[in-house]
Amino acid sequence: MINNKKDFYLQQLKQDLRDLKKYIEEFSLFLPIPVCSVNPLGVIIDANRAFYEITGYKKGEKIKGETIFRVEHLFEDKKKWKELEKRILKKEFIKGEETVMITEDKKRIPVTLSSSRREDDQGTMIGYFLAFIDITDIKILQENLEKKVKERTKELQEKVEELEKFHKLTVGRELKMIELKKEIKKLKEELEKSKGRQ
Amino acid sequence: MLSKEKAKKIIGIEGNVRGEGILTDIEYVRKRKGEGGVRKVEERLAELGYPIKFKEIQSLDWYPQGLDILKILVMKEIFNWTDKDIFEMATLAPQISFLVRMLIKYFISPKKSFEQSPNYWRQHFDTGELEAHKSSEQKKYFVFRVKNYKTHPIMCVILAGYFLQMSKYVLKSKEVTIKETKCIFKGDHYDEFIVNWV
Repeated sequence: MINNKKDFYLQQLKQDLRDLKKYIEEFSLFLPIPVCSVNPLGVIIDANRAFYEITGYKKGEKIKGETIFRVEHLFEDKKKWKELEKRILKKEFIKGEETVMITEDKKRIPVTLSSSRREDDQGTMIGYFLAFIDITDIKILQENLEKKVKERTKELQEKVEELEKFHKLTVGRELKMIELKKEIKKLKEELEKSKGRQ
Repeated sequence: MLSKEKAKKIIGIEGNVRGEGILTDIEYVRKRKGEGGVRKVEERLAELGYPIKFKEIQSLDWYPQGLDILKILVMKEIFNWTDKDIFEMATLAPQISFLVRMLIKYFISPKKSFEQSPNYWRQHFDTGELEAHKSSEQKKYFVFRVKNYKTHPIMCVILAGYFLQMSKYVLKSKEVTIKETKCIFKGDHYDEFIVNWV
């Protein structure tokens, strides 16, 4: 009877584990954001499909001649990554930090990086998760906008200069006319005077 | 060339392994030889009297150790693989293994990882035991001993690959080596592996 119960619980536990594993795998496959799990020594232990797709690296293959995948390979600015890593290891939660990812074929991808620390039951740090959001499109949009703003500013500047010239010209003309009018008036007065004398 | 008689003897080897061990090796075949390669392994196993569908293997269930070994020997035979290929397969396996993701809590420092390695063994095998015999971070070595585990000489190659890879997960050094210094198949009472790093 006890054995039957034990077997039942064991079978149940096995089924639960299988279901859990399947759920994790399905969720990992679905997740469109590249995510990886890193140990405290900077070795990638696990990553989802989106991560391998964006980086171009392949699961279960040598990475830069090594059988382990060091997270530092992902960053263009290694110094900046070291600083970020220090902050992560010091329990700091990183969110939306801009950096540049380097893919297997040396392509630069601007990304925002977020991290979350992992701890065991005793609170010991066992690693961290990293999530990358590709901001290439946003960057292109931003660059285009900046370019447009520059162009518009230049156009406006030119218009302002034109207006200033026009202003100068019209104001000058106005002054000239006032002067001429004064002169005409003066001449008229002189003419009247000379008529009176005659 | 494997014969039915030899296969029967191998299948009779005592002990069980987690399905994950079988699946990670099959994934390696898939990467190097494609789906056709996997089918070839299945066909050869069927010829030897042990038909198996790898898709039906559950990673957390237990399977006969003999079947795992026979599958490795079949791979060697049909792909003309040497021990060097099998060693490489073992070093790349943890990158794919689901169990390794569950065991990440052990990969947090060289000391902790070394001390916890017997747990890692028990997650994979139900026979034999792994002894974290001696280690020195100053002198840069780990000594692992595998006791009461006499299965097949090919497993010495597999274990060397696993231990090397597990060590790489927790060592910053890029130059890590492993050497089998005692072998149960060469008259010793146990297998001994020494990991060194620079």
